[in-house]
Amino acid sequence: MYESSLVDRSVRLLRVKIIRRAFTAPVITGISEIFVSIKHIFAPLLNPFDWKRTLAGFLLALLPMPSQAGDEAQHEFLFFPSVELFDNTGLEDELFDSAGNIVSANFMYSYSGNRFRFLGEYVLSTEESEIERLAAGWQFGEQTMLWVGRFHQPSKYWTTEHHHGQYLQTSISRPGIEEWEDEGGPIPTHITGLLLETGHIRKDSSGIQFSASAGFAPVLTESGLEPFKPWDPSSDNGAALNFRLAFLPDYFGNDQFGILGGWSDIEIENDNFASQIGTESVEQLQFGVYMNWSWEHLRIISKVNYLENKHIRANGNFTDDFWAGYIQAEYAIGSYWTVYGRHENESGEDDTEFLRLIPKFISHRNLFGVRWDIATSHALTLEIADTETLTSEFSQYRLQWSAVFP
Amino acid sequence: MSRWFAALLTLGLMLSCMAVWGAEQVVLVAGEKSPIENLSPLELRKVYFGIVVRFDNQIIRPFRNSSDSQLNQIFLQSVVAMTESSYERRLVLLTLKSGRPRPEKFTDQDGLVHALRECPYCISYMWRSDAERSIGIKVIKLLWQEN
Repeated sequence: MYESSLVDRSVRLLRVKIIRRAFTAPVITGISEIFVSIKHIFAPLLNPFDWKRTLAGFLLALLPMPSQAGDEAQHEFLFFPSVELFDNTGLEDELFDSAGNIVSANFMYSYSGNRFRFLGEYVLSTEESEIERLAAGWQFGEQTMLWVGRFHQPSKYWTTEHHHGQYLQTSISRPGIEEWEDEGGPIPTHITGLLLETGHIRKDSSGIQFSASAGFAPVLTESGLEPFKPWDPSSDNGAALNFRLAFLPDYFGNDQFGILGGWSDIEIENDNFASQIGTESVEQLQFGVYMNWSWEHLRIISKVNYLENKHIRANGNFTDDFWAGYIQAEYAIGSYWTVYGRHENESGEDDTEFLRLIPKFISHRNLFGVRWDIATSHALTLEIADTETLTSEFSQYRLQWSAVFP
Repeated sequence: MSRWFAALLTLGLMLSCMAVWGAEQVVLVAGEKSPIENLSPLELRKVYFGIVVRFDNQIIRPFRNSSDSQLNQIFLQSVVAMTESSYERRLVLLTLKSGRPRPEKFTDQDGLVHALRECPYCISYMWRSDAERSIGIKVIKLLWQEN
């Protein structure tokens, strides 16, 4: 029964792919088909309701570990708790709660052998419970890692710098263009597939870093983008390719600037929603530049993105595009206080059909905040923002305690 | 006259040597069975930021010596070139990003010496006087010297 439904689905997918081939570059379509095929082969192994197969798959993934036994394996554990009180004043719709609190705990575990590394990140909060990252990596050379699993894709700089470590980011909120895809972000974040990370350090300590990923993109649902679910064989995910190239004047520090980009084939989750919006899928192309730079007590984090969305439709495709950017300035006063401000702006979003499908996307925001590092690894932050989505304008007030252990 | 000059020169040399011997020094150390002979400043910095540096195809593991606050400050200035808070925060960030292990910390010097003796590919730093007193420890290189 299950196999026959898989066959039916494969036939349907093949039909869709043949139609799409007329509009898509052959190389990209080929990559997309390879991932769809791999997913259908491994989907039964990753079904959480079949715990024996899931356990077998997990143990298979850990097979390289015993060979590392003599290498004095190292384990790392990090715990990021945070408590946030918020108030949204002047809301004109029900996209966001008007007031409330978010209690969150983020756990990160890693295992490092001689060449093998395993990494997992899990978030439990009043809003969600999700395995954020789960990947196994193999080291080639001094600074090249190849990861397989679920990860945060490299073209979202803010995300790959802070992940869910709330304490590590100065502001409470993240810019709208950097938001998680399942919380109003327009760019896919969670990708399941392969991630290559490499770097080169020069003798003067400067260096470059390059990251590239290929895997399953999220799907588009009524409430926005939803990451790939390996345990759901009925999901219909396309491919996603992303990269980032960075220059670091001091490889060991925070300062860097670079270019980034990606391409994602975003499928529509179900046929009803697809017919409702008249779109079979969206092919998103994005690229941008970013920087994170410090001068004495001042730090500037900024990024500018261009996004082009090609809507694949039976009655003719069309493309929309928009620019999105932000600049955040942080000024440290002594060792314990930091004041910061951020301006987020978009251009062309009113004419972008794709953004109408991401209702929680924050298109404009001006905010001001102050952070107090009250003790080692503890911070208290207050943030006030003037916020706009495509449909409403409101004010946000947030107060947050965040920390990291150990 | 020349005998007086030779005597003064000898005295001067002796005094300058005594000044060097008496000056405080911080040295890079490993267990006496360690095959590690030398590390460049860049390699050392890499090791203390969790970047994999290999010797004989084995990963060099760094230990932090937190038994003395002045020693810790010298390490921060001369090896990682960061303040304590910046370094700690950077280590947490690198661990979160890619699972890199952080250097193990020792607040007890005896515990550190024991760990170094047990692990041939582990390194740390200590006052030269402490290193010379410790059994089973060898000095790899000088890291810092009091002016």
